[in-house]
Amino acid sequence: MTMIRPIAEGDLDALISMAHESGVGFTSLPDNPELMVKKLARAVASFRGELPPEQRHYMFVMQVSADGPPVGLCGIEARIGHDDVGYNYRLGAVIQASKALGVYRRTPTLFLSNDLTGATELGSLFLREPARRNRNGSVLSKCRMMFLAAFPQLFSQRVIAEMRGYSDDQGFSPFWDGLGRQFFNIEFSDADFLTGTGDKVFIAELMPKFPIYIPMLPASAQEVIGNVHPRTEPALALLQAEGFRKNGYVDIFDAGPTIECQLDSIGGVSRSFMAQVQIDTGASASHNARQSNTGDTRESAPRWLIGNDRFADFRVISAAAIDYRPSKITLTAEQAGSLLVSAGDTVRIMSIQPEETSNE
Amino acid sequence: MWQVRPLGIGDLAAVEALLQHNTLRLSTLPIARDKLAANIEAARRGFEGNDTLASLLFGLYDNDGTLQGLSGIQPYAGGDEPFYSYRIDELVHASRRLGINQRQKVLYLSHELTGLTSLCSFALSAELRATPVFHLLSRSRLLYIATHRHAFADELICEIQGIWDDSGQSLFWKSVGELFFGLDFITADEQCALLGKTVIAELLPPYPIYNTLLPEQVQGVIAQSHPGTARTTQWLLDEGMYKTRFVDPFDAGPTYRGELALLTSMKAIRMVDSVQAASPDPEVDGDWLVSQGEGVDFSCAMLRGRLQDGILYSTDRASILADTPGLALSLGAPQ
Repeated sequence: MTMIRPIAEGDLDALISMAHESGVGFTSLPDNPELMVKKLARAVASFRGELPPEQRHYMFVMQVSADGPPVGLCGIEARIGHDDVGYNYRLGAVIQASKALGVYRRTPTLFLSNDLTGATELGSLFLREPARRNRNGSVLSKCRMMFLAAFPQLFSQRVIAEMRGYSDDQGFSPFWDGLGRQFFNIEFSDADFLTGTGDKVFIAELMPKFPIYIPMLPASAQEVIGNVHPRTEPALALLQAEGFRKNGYVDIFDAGPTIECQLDSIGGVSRSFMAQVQIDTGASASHNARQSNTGDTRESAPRWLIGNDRFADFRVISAAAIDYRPSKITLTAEQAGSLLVSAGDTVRIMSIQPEETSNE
Repeated sequence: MWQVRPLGIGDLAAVEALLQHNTLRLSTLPIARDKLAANIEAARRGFEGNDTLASLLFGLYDNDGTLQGLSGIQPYAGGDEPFYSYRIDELVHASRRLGINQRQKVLYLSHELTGLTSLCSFALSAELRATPVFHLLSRSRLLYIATHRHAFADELICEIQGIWDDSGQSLFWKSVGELFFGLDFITADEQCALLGKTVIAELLPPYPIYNTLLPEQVQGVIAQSHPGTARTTQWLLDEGMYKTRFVDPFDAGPTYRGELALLTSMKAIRMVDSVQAASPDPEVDGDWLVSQGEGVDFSCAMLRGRLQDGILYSTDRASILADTPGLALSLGAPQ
């Protein structure tokens, strides 16, 4: 069983070391302790309701045992660009035609935009290396959908995720080399670090404001526009399976794609359902458990998320099976303890895989 | 005696032959007989005073009356359409925090030169460019303008051919225009000359272009003149014209600009009451351009002689220059 909870003040050291481990490309987790202190303070204030909803940044940590250290984290930015300017390139086109010449040309073009301002962003997902197993990545990613499902009024209907763009093993980004570097004269890793610091003024100061005709970029830069980093492909596939689609916007530094879905249409949000809690008193209920029927050899592989739908005390646990009868779920005492619920409370249930529905 | 006169339709075949041997291709004069005939006829209407926007075309004729060169004036650049250039501007991209301060060159599509008077359609063999007839063909246009001052703008421009490779293709075009036209430079240039400027409006990229995103060797040819134009650019500078920040949208050749009234030649033009035969006087004789007549009757010749009290005493046989008033311009000899 894994457990997910809001980040707390005591998680600072874990946050700092995870930022250090994350490396280049994790724009939202720069290896900078000072910034992590600020980030943590904002997340804590968000869960305390001390910030207006649009300024909140929710961060969650994952534990693999009840008292264990955080092994991963993820976040939800309530509204991007609410107090600074967010930039993306919109992948558009310039169409030109001359009947007299018999010419019709479509030139793909990058337009600098702030169009995604106000959207809710899923971000900052990081899982420590030893924990990258047993669907932990899926659990961590999808716990955010549990939170969105519980508090839709706190978020925009427009939910996006910015996927890390292509760079090679040395952190070399062909897109940056072909475009941004011409205007910054600094390396991609440095530029990326600067964005993560949250001070984006330099983007406005240095990036080209006029549209960029893609055919004028080097072929190596053109080829990676809208492509994700090889290590981000699983994350992309996961969110695509939940209904997210590329929306035609890419990152201004590495041209990684933005994906988007309406909150209500996110697979995990719409297939989650509520149930009343019963506590397992010791009598065997296992014959009712929803076990895998696909011959999965990893018996402990989690298939379900159960959440308590609370705000400051938000909790999500994963479970390999659930004992569910219409409108009622039987939890073990340990599960109920992790979720801070007792008999009679309601919890939210979501299958981790889209194909596993509540009423098979 | 070499002369410059308005082209006539009778020159059509000669014009075509001359253009076919012209290494500095002219975007204003496509090598297509129908179109050339139309251009010459339009120019005639301009000379006759029936079309104030028509581009005027002049011929350079040798002693035998054979056509040896061409030149033109577009009274108002663009005519009734916009005149397209790229303006090379600069944006400073600076971040104090990052310690970065860069001047970024940007090419903006511009119509600013629309309506200025353009010296154009200059065709003369490399051999003749090196002789004084270069001045006859180039500067006779200033005498025409001086004679018909009301028909022209106060400022002159001259577009100079840019850098082409051995096959006549433009490196700049390959990286910019071709992306949008889907045609190579020569084809696009010819098509535009045939179809008019609407095509440019339809197809040239609408947003500014950052120089830094162009290949380095392409950046290097922007605003550079074709080597074959050296004599012309030197002359323009001698006249007091200057190289602007405007370049041709096709080959990025530079545009020169100057105020008409301030040009060296315009200031040196003198009225001539008549031309009279005289014996040589090496002490004071020099080379002169002398123009007479208006419109279709305009002509300009190069004479050796001296100007005294409004009379040009020429040692050359001046029989074809009737005893009529005109303008004279010294080609640099003592006055």
